[in-house]
Amino acid sequence: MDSKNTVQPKPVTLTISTTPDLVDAGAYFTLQAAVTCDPPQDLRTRHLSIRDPNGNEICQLVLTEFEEGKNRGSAVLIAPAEPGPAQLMVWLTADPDINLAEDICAPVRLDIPAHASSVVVWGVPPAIMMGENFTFYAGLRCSANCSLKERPLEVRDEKNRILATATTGATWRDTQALHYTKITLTAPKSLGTASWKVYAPSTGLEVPHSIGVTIFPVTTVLAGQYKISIKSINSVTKQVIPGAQVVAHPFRAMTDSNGNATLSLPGGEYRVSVKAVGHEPYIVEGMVKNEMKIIATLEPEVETTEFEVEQWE
Amino acid sequence: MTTIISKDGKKTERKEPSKLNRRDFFKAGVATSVGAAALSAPLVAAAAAQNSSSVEWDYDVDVVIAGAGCAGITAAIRARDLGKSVLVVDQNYDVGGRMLHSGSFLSLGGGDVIQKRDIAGDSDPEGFVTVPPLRTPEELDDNVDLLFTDVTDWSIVDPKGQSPYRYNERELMRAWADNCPPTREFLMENYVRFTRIRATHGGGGLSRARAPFCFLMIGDKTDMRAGTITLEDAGRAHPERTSPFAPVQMNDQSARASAGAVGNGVALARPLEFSAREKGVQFLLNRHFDEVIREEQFSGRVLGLTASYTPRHNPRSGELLRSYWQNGNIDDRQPVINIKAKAVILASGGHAGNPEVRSMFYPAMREPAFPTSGSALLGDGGQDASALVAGLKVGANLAGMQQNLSYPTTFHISTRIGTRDAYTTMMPGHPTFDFRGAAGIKVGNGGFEEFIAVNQVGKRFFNEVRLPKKPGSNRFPGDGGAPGKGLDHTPLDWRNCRHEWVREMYSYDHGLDAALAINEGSEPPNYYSGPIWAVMDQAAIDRNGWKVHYPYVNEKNGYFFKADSIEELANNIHAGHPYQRVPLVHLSQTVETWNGYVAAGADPEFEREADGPMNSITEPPFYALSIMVIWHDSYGGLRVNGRQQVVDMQGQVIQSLYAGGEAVGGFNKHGLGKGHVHGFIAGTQAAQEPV
Repeated sequence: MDSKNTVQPKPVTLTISTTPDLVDAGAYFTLQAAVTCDPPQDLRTRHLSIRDPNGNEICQLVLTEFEEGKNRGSAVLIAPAEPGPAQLMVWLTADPDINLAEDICAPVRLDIPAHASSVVVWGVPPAIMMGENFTFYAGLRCSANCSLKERPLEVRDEKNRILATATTGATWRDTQALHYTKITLTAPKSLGTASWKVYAPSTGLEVPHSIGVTIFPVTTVLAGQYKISIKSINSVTKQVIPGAQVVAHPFRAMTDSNGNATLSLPGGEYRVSVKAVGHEPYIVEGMVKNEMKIIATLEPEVETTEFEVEQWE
Repeated sequence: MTTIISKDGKKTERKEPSKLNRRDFFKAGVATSVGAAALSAPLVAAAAAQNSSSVEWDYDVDVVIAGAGCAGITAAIRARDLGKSVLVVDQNYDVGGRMLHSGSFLSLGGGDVIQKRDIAGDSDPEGFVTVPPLRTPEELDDNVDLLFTDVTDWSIVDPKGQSPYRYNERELMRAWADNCPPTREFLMENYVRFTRIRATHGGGGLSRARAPFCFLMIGDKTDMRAGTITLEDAGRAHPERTSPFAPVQMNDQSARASAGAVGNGVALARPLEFSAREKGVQFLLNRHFDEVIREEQFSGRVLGLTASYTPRHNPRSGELLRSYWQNGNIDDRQPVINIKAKAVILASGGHAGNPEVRSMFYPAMREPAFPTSGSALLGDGGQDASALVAGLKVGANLAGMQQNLSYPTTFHISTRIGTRDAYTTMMPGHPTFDFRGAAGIKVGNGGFEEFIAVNQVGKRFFNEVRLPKKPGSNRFPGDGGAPGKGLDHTPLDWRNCRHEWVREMYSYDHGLDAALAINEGSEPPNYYSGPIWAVMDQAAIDRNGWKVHYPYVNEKNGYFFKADSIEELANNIHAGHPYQRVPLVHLSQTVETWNGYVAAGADPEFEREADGPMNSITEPPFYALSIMVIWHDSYGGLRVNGRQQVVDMQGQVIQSLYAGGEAVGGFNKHGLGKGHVHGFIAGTQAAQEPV
């Protein structure tokens, strides 16, 4: 894309630039304009007209800054949804007050690339028993908000072998255009973390799209041998803390309404972290070799900004 | 009667106070002779900013004060009490400055009447304070000599390795300590009510408890004389509303006064404003102080000041903002006016809101993306170094400039994210909320475990858990670096700073400095570090119950973004944030790498696993909320003597020019205690002009 374009002659110069340099189809971008006059004039509150190639006005850009002789302003626009070349025109109309006898205009050429496809993967359990089935979600989104419903997805392993295929469906909760599906797979039968990926082919779409791919980790574990009971308590009030997060990597749990959580761990060295909103984390490290009970006493968080000190001390 | 005559002949008359309230004058060092000022002319004087002989005066008063904050309003009342005509100019549309959004934790001491009241276990005359004292008599047993010792103690080192008291100006400290007790009484005589003393505020000393809060009682009507305020005015009628009276919701002070007591800076600023207006102080609001007018640029007496009209309009309706109370206001909309006065007091605040000035202490803080606290309330003209700039133009010296670096929270990372004005809890209802746009989400230090923090190119730069943590500030009862806490503290003891102890107690992590570091998006000449973003997923929002809706966040103001994918999030930030100068080209890779660290249970870059659970960022939608570096207040400023007279670079007093609060340097004390006492002294002295 032409990111800069300057129109002369003096005494009025119009300079246009855009950010980002590469504007995705349908994505927001910012068009910045600078107007200089010779001699310098403060043009703040005046506006430029942004038009399509047919001369139809899309919006107006107001000059809001005047520094070091340059008048600047910007406008946020949405790029065309169709990939390919596109053009805008920025007009400053003739005005004797600023010694501008004729309209001047700067073209802005945009080269819109194919729509970008983003693959999102979530809900993969942090610790999966070797060889067991697990489910997770995968979604596909177009940068220009195209509907990518009923699009194929492939799950591939580290050697690029296809493990499963799926088709996207409805949009995920509270998203605009993330079409998703639920996938069930079997975890590797070996211990460790594998890097699998979800791949979204781009074939078969009317508008060109990029290929989408996201890598996600799949961590397999041994079966738990020892039951670890955790009780989370506020160190000051002695009240139990529900909803505290318990992590003994890669195993995770959440305390219930009585402040209790249970982990089933294979033997070995662990760092157990217990964290609740508004509290400092409780962390204990050690060897797990039999059943254990942990009373996690969490210190309430104390803020030390001046504001909190002033307000709550 | 006193008459103020404006340029167009308009007269404003008002009553004299019924009786003058002459308080004990402060004790200070040697008075400076009047004629000495003439010696201060530099060898080569630049052209005077304004030829004083040709000035057309618009107003003629005894005392003109720049700034209606804690120092200015106190000085105004004091000078008025002493029978002077007083005119206050302030760049904002309302009175109060930052005092209005403060917590009112007002640290004085030296054996002041509140310390004595709490020692005796007495209530206040109105019977509002019914809870028992919060501190023992021994912790409250204070005197001005001990206070002076505390605020000049060479031996104190804080957990950031700084010395908060060592570099204080000694004459200034003596005068301040001597005037703490009378200032406390003065404030109480002007409708300010104090709770029990809780502790001491930063910079107010380690030996004794010296700071109560200010309060009002919930009642049927808002009445400063009676000390009552309605639930609505206090901002306590609805959790998401404030009021035009109180920009920040007032908090419960029942544990420090009695049931029904509420407090914060509103309970300090509004009573003082009410008293000032009642006594006949006059105000020119929306009026920015620009220049000091002196007989000659670098010599002679100061004759007055210049101020320009700086109206504030509601950004949505365009309506001109007007002060809550109007009596005493002069509605003068001339672009520029000149005010003649026998004495000029500069109390227009510091330089925390001026990136160019503050960058002399920390070049990275020239970054304009980071405002000062309370920026929505104050507007663009707040804390803009106006006193410092104007003082330098007439030859003033500076003091304590390095002390900007020796208060632990001068600049810090806020734990309120998703708003530019990240310091206060202002909610819709106050006229300046629309400048703020969103209240932000208070995540606390612990909230920083729930996301990754990235710089302007989308890269992590520090252990997020340690990013917002701040060292203590060394005050009673000892949250800082001194080995002895409470009454076990020993002033002037070398053991307070022996290096073995400093090694043990040092606890600063420098996360803020990593946030301000040069990165791939930094370009010459300023190498701005750019904005910082908290990036998280829906699961983090759900775990913490954060409210991602208005008024907490605002999808249109550039400080909160939500997207279906990380790529879209990066694009939206770049397009929508005013200081996001470069694309966040690394954000997708950063999130993918982070998710790999979570799966591996280890963060090889910043060792997050040692500080708490790590959580992946996978569940859509995805969020980015601004993390703000705040330059809260400033410590360097104009040099003044113990009478608050501004001193020039030859050590001579600039006659008739006074300054106080954040406009002055040489006192590394946070907050209100400094400003009120400075105002009390300056008002006392200015009332004696010409001398």
